[in-house]
Amino acid sequence: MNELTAITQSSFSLQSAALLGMYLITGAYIIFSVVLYYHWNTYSTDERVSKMTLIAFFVTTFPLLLIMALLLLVI
Amino acid sequence: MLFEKIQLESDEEVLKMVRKHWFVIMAELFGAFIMLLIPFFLLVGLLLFPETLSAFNINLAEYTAVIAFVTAGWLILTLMAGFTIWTHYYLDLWIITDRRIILIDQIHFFNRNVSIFRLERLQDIEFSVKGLIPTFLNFGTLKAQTAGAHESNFRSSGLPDPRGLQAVIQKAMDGRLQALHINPNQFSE
Repeated sequence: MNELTAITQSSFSLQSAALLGMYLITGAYIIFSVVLYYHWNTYSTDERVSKMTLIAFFVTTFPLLLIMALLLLVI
Repeated sequence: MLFEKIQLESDEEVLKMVRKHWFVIMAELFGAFIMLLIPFFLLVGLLLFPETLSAFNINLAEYTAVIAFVTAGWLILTLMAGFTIWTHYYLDLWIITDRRIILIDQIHFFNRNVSIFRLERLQDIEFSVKGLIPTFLNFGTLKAQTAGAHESNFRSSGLPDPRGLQAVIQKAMDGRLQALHINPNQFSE
């Protein structure tokens, strides 16, 4: 019984840590995306480079965020 | 876009726009790339020494989801660092026009320095190429002194072809002084 409690508590804490990590990374990601978009939209000299950079950023990072969200359901 | 904000004077012509040498960003991005690979190195390391894990009674297969979750998080953070490096590189810019030099220094996301120096106020431009890699790849530091306060001197490192850049500025400066009906030789004496 004690072992079961320990396992439950351990898995709960792991899930909580993962959830906290997810919240932190999502928050950082949203803030970073806004800042990146603002800078490229305001200070870039070439619209094509801005578009390519923003597309590359979202194409490479957003799927990873989705994978993290899906993995959170498994953990 | 940037030029809408800088507002070039009427008939002002942009002669050259310069960013830092490609080696500068490649060196920084290489660091980010190594960081990107760290979780994979760690995993390979753990798989190469399975007895270490079994000594701690850890079965790696049970933690596949956690490992994938942490790796994905690490990859997002590293990619964000990589895009920060690229943004700082691309938004760091020298614009040489036939009237002035506009120096944009993107230090951090929230630390941006824009300096404008009029060509007729420039007195001395010097460049230096120091080291093996800068010599072979032809990049270096450009320094310029302007008439007046010492604080108005400027310096930028990692610029490609500093000799060519110096020539462009010198030519633009002479042209500007001629346009203002000032004898350019009076500054070289």
